[in-house]
Amino acid sequence: MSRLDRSTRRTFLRGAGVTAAGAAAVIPVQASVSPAAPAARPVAVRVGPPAGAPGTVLAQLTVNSTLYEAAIDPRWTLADFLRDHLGLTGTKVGCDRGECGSCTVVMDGRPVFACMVIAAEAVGHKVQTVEGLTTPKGELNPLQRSFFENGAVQCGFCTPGMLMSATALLAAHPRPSADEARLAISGNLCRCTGYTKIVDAIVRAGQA
Amino acid sequence: MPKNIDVAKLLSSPEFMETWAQYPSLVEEEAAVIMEHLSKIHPTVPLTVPKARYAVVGTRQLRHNDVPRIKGTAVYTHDVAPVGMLYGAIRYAAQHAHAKIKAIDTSKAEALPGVRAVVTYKNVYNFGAPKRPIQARPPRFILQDEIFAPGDEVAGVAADTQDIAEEAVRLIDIEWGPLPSFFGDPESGLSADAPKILPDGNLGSENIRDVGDPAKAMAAADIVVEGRYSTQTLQHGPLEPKAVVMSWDGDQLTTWVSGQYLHGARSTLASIFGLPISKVRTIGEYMGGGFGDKSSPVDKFAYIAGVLSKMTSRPVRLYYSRREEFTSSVHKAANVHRVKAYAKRDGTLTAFDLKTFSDMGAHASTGSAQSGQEPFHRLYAYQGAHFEQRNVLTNRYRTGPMRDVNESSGVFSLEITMDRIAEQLGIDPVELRLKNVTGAKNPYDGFPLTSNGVREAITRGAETFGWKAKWHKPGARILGRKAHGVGMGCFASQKGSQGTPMSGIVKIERDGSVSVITGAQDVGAGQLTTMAMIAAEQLGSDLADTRAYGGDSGFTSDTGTSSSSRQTKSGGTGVRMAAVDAKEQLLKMALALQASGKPVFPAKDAGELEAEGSFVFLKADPSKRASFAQVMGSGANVIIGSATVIPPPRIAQTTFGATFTELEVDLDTGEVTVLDYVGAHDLGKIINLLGVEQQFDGGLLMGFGFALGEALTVDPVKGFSVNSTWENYPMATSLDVPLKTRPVWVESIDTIGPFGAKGMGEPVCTGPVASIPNAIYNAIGVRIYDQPITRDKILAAIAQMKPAS
Repeated sequence: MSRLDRSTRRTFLRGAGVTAAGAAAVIPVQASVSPAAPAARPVAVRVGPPAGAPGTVLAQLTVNSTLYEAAIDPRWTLADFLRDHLGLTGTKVGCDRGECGSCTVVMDGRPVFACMVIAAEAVGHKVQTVEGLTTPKGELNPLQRSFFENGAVQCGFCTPGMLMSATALLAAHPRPSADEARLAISGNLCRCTGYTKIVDAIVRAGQA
Repeated sequence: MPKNIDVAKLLSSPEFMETWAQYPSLVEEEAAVIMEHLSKIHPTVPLTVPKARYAVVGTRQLRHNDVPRIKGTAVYTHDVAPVGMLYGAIRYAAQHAHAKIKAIDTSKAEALPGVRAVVTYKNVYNFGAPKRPIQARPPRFILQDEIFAPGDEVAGVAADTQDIAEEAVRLIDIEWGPLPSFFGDPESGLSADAPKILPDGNLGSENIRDVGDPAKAMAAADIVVEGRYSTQTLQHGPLEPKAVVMSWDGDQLTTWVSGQYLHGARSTLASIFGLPISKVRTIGEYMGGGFGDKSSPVDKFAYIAGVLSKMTSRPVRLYYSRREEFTSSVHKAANVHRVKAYAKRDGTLTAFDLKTFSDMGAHASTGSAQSGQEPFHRLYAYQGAHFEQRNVLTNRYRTGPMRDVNESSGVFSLEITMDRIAEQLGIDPVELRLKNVTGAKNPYDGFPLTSNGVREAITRGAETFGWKAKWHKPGARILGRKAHGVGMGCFASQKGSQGTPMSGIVKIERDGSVSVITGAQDVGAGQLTTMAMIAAEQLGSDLADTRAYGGDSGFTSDTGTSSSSRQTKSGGTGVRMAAVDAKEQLLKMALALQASGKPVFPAKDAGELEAEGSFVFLKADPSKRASFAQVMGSGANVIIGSATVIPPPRIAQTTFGATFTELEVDLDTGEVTVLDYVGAHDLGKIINLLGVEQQFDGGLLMGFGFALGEALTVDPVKGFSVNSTWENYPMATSLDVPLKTRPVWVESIDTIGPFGAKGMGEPVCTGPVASIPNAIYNAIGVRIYDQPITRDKILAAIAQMKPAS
């Protein structure tokens, strides 16, 4: 319907009259910024609007092992930030309200819906997206290869989210059972595959 | 270079006659009908000549274009952002089901910083789009001052950011004048006291037809089984919402669109904006599922984006929210079926009397196809029938095609009816079906069916399932608080629809590798892999060096929409005939090939040569051979094979099948647990085994949703959607997958599909509807006539169960 009754994280924040300053009061952005810079990459990659752009706060966060510094609008979701400002469009937005799991990324080892995480909340955390899965040579990793070889992909729109949920599962349980795999992707909707081959692909990736 | 096929030669060829001779019950008059149709057109449809051995067809092939999907690098429409792009948003009627705009004020929206354009019905026609209705009844324009459903578009905004655009649509003030609205069930929409949406009432269209002599056929029966059946409004739920990016460069329109039919989008946009087709280019290599939702990929929202782009001279992107997808996109129509089936005591059907009422919503894009009558037309034989089909306007959701084009609603009413006949006459449901299924001819119009494997599907399906051992009397097997039930049913649906253009291009490159250029849109079902396989089989190239490209109407040829399970037939036939053309050129070139000054092949005619695995060889002595690369190296830069095939107008494929379900109903909770499901599918001939497995897995889960859970609901007072989110619309998750599902493939070798193939994508989701309702009845002994069969209905039925005797 009209966006009048479209409740998303963003509209909720806007409706609550949250401003940059207000958000800073709610989310301790400043507190988590400076100490978060890891030693591995002392210099952050600058992205997004210029520092000091109206309504933004300067923040640093790690995505796929790269530290980024960006002027972040407190209303942006992590999905917005990844897609619109880092160009990481592999993270798909299917509902923008935490129902479909297409935007799943891994944050500090846990799968999260990037549409339900405010970008500023990810400050100081390590985010991994589908683009961060391939081997250093750019080849499919074992889980991705298993998806390919088991025909676990049809339209592919849910695939990045499925892969990220499965990545978190395999990190915690390297040899998952079919039931564990089913449970791990139960927050990821798919309309094409009937899930069967996705579950097979995850279980077989664990056995490989 | 168009491929010319010699019709007379084809029709008189022994191979052709042999094909038809294999066709079991084809009678002379029927063959004559086909001949007559074929002879009127040129070039004609190539008929299937089955081969004894296939190099590629029928194998299990991975899909090369899955790699970008898995890496996250595949570009979907929402990922496209041309330089200078603006973000669009749409204002919907939302608070009204039927109303007229009395006043609209956009000044606050226009004053918002970052807003670049606002379009309403007042200014939409100032930018090139001619003012003519998109649909006639009710009149529907790009934007207009009357809305017919809450999901109707009222205004559009283009702005610097998505947030600004969404803010701006909220700032548009509208004063509404409500009009009479109706959103009840379609049958009651025709009653005299229903509110009238149009001055002359709510009837959208009707179609009444008698087949044979219905009165005589009914009189020949011993019993009549009568019932009222209803099915629900459904939503496709592709994971990717609709998306479009419009960009004008002078009078050239470039559109990125998530669509099942890029060439259809192209010609529609050309017509709306008054351009020659050549000046519109539609692009969409990857799309996130369609299921019919995107079979008309451009509609009002795309036209609005086009106008906004023209107003601002900048690219504009519109991306549906999930809620828009649920409320403003098309839907599968709710149906009411009133069925009377007439049969003799021995189970022979004599007649049908079928009245259907389809909820077309305020705007329908598929018309009569939504009625679900088709399974009645062609699944079983009958002497006579009376069909009445009424499409009823309501102020609910817009309706349009959705996977199986509502054949599931007809299968629901027909197969429960058949189950009731079997029970009343004391005949095994399997035997009743075998007694009545059609053979070579569609009883509705008398035209031949291109192949029919329903008999084999029933018998092999029953055998695999273990029907004889499992079947029992209704309500007869209750263990503790679990009622065990088994049910079966059949389905038939017209696929690979008639009239679709079939074309393709096959290029042999200078190194002997092969590129296939096709308009067959890969909606995720692996169409490009299928096209490559068909080309490789026909041409004799190595599949590893054969690659198909599509997703851009500027460089491909129209081969119909990837809807109604037709692309294997339409795109596949185009590619296959283009490969015939390319191969002819290649073999001619091979004939002239020399090595050390001597011809490589001691042959006078190219017909003495054959190709396989990217080698040309002499049929008489296969040791005499040359690779495609060697042949191409003899001078040709590239070979371009092409074909355009116009299909005969009245010959359409029909897919058939039979499904079997074993389940348990929990008598305390009403929960249904499916224990075993066998789907026997007549798919003509398998091209890619992986593809049919994938369609089976995914389609049946959607079908389980049709049967057991999914329904879009509107509130009965105001007609607003009450469950237009995935939280409230129960699409199956990974935890809802049935424990055991087994396919049975029946290859009936279709007479017009490439290598005998028929469509597969849609019937798999019709299958569950054929057998689940009957299995639930078999468990509890009480019929449920209203789909979906949800727990509340099951619990109400359990309350009526007779105590076990």
